[in-house]
Formats: sequence, C-alpha cells, structure tokens
Amino acid sequence: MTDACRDARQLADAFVSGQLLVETAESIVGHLSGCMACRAEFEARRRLRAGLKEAFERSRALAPRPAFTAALEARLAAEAAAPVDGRRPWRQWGSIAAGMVVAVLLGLVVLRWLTPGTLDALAHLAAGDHQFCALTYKLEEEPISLEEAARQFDPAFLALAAVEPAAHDLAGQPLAIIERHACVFGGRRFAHLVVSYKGQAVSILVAADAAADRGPSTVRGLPSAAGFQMASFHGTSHVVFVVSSLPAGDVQAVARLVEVPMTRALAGV
Amino acid sequence: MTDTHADRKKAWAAFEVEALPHGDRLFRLAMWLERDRQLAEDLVQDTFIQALQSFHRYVPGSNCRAWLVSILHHLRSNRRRAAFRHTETQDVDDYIAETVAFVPAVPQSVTDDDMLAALRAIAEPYQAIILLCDVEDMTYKEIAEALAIPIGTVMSRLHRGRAALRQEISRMTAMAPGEAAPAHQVRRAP
Repeated sequence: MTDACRDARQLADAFVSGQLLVETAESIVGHLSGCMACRAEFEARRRLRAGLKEAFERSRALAPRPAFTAALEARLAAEAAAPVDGRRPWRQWGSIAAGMVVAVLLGLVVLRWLTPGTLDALAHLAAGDHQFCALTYKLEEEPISLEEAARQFDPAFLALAAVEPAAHDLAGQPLAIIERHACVFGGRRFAHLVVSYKGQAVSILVAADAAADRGPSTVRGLPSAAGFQMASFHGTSHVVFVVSSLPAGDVQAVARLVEVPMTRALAGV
Repeated sequence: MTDTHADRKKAWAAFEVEALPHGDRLFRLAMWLERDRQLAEDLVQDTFIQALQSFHRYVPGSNCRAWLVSILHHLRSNRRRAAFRHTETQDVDDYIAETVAFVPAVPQSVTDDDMLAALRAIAEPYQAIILLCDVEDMTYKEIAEALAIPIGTVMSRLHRGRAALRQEISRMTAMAPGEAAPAHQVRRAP
C-alpha cells in the first residue's frame, strides 16, 4: 500500500458519504482510476452503504402501521386548524383584545369566516374516529350508548338512537345499521352510526356545531382526510359527516340516503 | 404574529408538503431506536406535533428531514434522561476503539436480515450515526446538530461504526477462511 493509498483511505468515509470538497473528491477519483485495490475497497464501502439503506427501507418490521399514519395525519390536521391560544407572547394581548372587539362587532360575518376552519378540524377528527372506532376499535375512552350520551351531553343524540334510514339505495343495494353509540376522538364527542354498504363499513358521525344553522342542508363532498372519502350535511345545531374507504360517489350516495331521516331526527320531528 | 384561519391553513399546507412526507422514514428511525412499536408511535407523534408547533422556525429550503430528526432525538434524549437518569460515564469511542482495528472485506451478497442484524449488534451510538449518515443522507454538520455532539465525534464514530459493522457482517455471513475476520464480538457500550 502506497502513501497515496493511505491518504485516499483516510478520506474513504467522507468520500462515500459525499462530504468532501469537490477538489479533494476529484483527487481521490484520480487515485482510484489507477489503483485497483483502493477501487475495490471504495466499492465495498459504497456497496455496504447502499445495502444498509435498502435493507432499512425494505424492512416490514420497521414500517409504520397505516392506521397510525392515518391517525397521526388526522391529529395534526386538527391541531393545525385549532387556534394557538396558549402560545401567544404576552405583548400581543392588547392586539388580541382589540381583535376580539372587532370580532364581536362583525358578529355573524366573522362567525361564517371561522366556520370552515371548525369544519376542517371536525372533519379530520371524524376521519380519525372512523379509523379508530369503526375499523380498529382502539379508542382511549369506551363508547357509551346514545341514550346515556343524550342524558349526559347532548339531548339530540336520543333521537339518533331510533333513526332509521332507507334500507336500500335506488339500485337496490342494501344499507344496514350495524352499530350505534356515542364515542370520543381527539376530545370531540360524536354520535356514531356504523352502517354496512357495498361490503364496507361507513361511519355516520354527528357532532354539535353551533354554526350549523345556516340555511337549507345539502350534501356536499369534502376533501379526503386520512385517506378516507368524506361527505357532510348539517341538521339543527349539528353537523353530520359520512366517512368511508368507499369511492367518493358512494359516500355521497350514503349521505343522501340518510340525510332526510337524520335532519328530521335532529330537528325533533 | 397573527393566528387567522388563513394563516393556519397556509402553515398546514406548507407542513403537509415539507414535513409529512418524511413520516415513514422518521417512523423507521424511531422504531429502530426504540425497538417497541408503541414507544416509536408515541415518539413520532410527539415529534410531529412539536414540529408543527415550531414550524415557523423551520427554514424553507433547508433539510426538513434533518430538522425532524433533530427534534426526534431531542425528545428521545429528554425522555431517556427522565426515565433512567442515564449518564454516559465512559466514552463509547474509547471503549471499543481497540476492537475494530481489523477491517474485513465486505461479502458480495448480504441479505437484508443479515445487514440489519449486524447493525443491531454494534454499539448503539454507532448505529445512530450510521443510520443518520448512510440511511438518512444527513451531512456531518446536520448529524452533529441533531445529536448535539462535536462534528469530530461524528466522523470518528462513523469511521469506527462502519468498521464494526463490516466485522459483524463478515462474522454473520461466515466468509471463507482467509477472507473472514477474526470472529470476535464487538463489545456493546455500557
């Protein structure tokens, strides 16, 4: 081994890591072009590095669970949509107070501006609830009956204990309720009806929403959240989300099937 | 600083583009370090939540994965300190420096399982450096910042770690006589 070989090998780690200056790297390349032993050594190091990277990236044991990834995304989206109340510097309290006064004066206009953010956050929580309640049964808090939830938290949930949507869609495809309860995800309580449609679980999640009373209800598709297709409509003081892995058209079809009985139930009709 | 819905939406859109795509890689790193799925999930979740809350500090165009890894290591170090009151009483480099003097050849074909088992067999501080450099493609400077160690330590640990890794791979794949390294174990750090 020559002095040039020793010099090159001292820099081998930095070379294969791409950490050398261009001039230094070029001088090593020059040495490697004429030294078969060093070329073999550098190639072995490069192979080791590439092999390790591939092994790591291919390992199934190290891969995240899809449910975890979906729930994390839902949690982050909800976090992002929420105001950062606790993190404001003290010196901004004055401007915050002024902003609140303006907000009060603007009344309903401002409320309508804020509504989309609330709905975004709620929609992501609904997707998370579908994932962790309807699909994987992994909630931190045990679900309770709709009757119990009506007594303790939201009287409107009582009507949902008896609501019966159409048993079939227009094409004769059956729609069957397989579960009803009230559950909590991300700190938000939902009335949760799980229905079976086209072989898939579909969640119908109802949450109180003070801003929901704004004109006639219509089913609308929402951007997908945590990998699920979503649709929503609103009833009296409540918003209803329909969540599933089914295609968006099917999710909206389910929403239209349950819309009338759900809104009537929420209105106490 | 304002906190309007539009601001939050804009920040979330940037976070979705810059940070969320690194979730898979970050989880693999956490899973490797923690060796427990629940702990890894908690660590990654807390890392992303902290990253989201501090996203205004992220410099657009810089290495977002390195920034996330830095947060992850910071959180993990705090937890370990709180849980074990652990302090390194002996420099891992000094501890095993003498055991990696001979660097064997790298076999032509190594399975993924052998590769990962060999990595697992070497001292933990070396595993972390090798992963951050060779798998995460972080620069020495980024690694030094993430692990809060001098850049010279990064370089020396990487050098010794790679040598130890080659020894382990050689031992595991049982190379032919004449090629194989002495079958001694690299001692683990305390």
